[in-house]
Amino acid sequence: MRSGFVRGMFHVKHQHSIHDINTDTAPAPRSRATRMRLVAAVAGAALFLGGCAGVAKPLGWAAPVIANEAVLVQVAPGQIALLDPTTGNAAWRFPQEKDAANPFYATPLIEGSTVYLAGYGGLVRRLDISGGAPVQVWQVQLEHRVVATPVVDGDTLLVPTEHGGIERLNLDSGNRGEPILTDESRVWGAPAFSNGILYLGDLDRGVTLAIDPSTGQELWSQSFVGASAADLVVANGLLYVPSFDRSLHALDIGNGGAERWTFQGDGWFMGAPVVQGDTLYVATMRGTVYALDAVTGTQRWAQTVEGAEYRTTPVVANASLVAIDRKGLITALDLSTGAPIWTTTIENVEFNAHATVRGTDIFLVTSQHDVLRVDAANTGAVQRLTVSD
Amino acid sequence: MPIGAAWQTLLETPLINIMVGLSALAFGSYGLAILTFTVISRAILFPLTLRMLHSMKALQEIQPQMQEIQKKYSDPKRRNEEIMKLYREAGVNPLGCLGPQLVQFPVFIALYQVIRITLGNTPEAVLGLSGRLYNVDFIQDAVPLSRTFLWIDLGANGNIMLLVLVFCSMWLQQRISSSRTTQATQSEQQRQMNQMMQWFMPAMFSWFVIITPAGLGLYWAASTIIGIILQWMFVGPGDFTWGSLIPNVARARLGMPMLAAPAHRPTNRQSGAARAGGESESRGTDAIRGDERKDGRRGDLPGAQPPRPASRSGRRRRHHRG
Repeated sequence: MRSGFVRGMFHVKHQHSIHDINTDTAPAPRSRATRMRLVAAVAGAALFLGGCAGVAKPLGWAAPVIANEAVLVQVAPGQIALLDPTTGNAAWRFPQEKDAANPFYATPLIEGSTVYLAGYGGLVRRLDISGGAPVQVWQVQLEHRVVATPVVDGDTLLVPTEHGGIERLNLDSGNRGEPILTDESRVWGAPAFSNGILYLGDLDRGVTLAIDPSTGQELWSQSFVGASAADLVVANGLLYVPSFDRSLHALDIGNGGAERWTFQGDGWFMGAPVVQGDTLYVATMRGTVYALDAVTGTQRWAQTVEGAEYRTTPVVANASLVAIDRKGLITALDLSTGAPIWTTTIENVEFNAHATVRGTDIFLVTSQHDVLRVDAANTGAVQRLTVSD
Repeated sequence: MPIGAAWQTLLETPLINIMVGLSALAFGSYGLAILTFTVISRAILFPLTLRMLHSMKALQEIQPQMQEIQKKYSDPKRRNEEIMKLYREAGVNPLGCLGPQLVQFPVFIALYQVIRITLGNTPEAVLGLSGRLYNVDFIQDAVPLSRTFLWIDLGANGNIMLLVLVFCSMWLQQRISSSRTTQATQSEQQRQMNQMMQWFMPAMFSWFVIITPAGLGLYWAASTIIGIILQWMFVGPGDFTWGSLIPNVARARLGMPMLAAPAHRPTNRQSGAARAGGESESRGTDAIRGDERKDGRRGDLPGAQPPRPASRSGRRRRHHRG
């Protein structure tokens, strides 16, 4: 009996230990912990992927501009400053704080002592900079994003948007007029404006349009295989359209936009062409700079810089053509032969914004909004004017 | 080669070019390119998927033997040995179903990166694509890609329509899968786990759809729907019927017969009698009654027997007997 009792006790205990391990009944603490670990692991994975899913922020690539012998440049997302070109000291900043929702892709437009700003978030402003500090005259919030630089037509500011339309704002009051509707296709390149006609390239359809802005009437259109994201240029009676189809198209604006010639490059054309006399210079995102006959499109020379990627328009400074690579390799080329004159490398930068020239100084702004001055007369000596926060 | 560079060179960049190339072939529609890619990737994974489906079917077929083993052996070690033996004999790999999932995971992550790069939300992202494209004419000319597909902005986060589609399709897939696992042989915990996963997995992936570009949601929804079709074709729907989706509340209003609660494997208290007559008989019945007493407190659980009136412990009864 005693042994039976002991055996029974053992059995009871043994059965209970089985019970603990067995998963047949309600969850035991151990299995509950396992389940909690599983849930925690899956939730952790979800949070991890969620953390990885941060959306890239727009930074803006507005080019610096020269205003009153000073440099007007975006020094933080959505904030411009008027800098002394030699010291980098800021005379003023506008607005006082950066505006991450409205970084500037559109280059500030200067008309005398007036500056027009168009933010990526669709906020368009007019500033009066005649005094010591900028005074905002008006501001208009558009429904659509703005990347392209606006154009002034008489008393109207024409603002192309990412929605494909062109907003018409009265210069004095900011009042909105009837927009010109083209198509729901993004406009990134600055339109060209010549003899009262607006020329517009679009990103999504690869169509170039000629529009009478006073009536909104489309005069002609020309379609290409690739997108057009670069600024358009009118010279020599031709409209130059750089395209993602690795071609530079020359359209005869006096002949309904008929294609006069096409030049095939080795990569996307994102920078605008620079026309100097009868020669046109243009660079590709595959690192090649071309010199072409501006009228016929015949190639005069080409210079490829290994590993370079030109997203910006080359500039002419100190009688040389200066091409700015995305990663900071700056190369000056002989205008007539394309032979390299000097090169300089700026470390840890990215250049998406076009440069601007004042004398022999080239002003650059990085995608992190550091402002630099490159002296083309001194083999590309670099001075850092401002460092972003 | 560093891992990051290898990832970019071997997986991400080729996938970018494949997607851009497919987009060019699919009349410039990135949405169609994603759907085409989904079909292609599922076709490539088809041998693995087929193996998984066969494994599922075999698992379904050996459920009666599994049930026998569960009943026969109460010793977990011995039971596991017998189950593994049964798996070997039936040629079933219980982890076989993980193959396609494991292979799909890096593709899923890479596709997420690819959609972010190709349909980037910022102007900078579009330019960033230039350096990743092969120097092939029709790929280079395909940019920029059309972001819109069936009123969905494929590059934007938080598409509600895709969220609903992903949730419903994943829920349905889980439901079909769990129906075939013969719930009668499932333990209470397994059943709870299945029920949790049936809601948790769709909810988790719906969360992914909300926080990632809609293109990824489109891929996952299409992939899940293809998975459901394959499962239906090669394994069958099991005991799933579309009518079973109508809840009892609606059935009552419509005058339809009520759905029975899913049967599940008897718990210890239910199998006590069988066990008492089987292998564990030598241990005597008192210990089992001890379990019964313990389980009797949980008589409200589905399948639980009503609590026994006797509140005496096994020990006390044994003592009493003694």
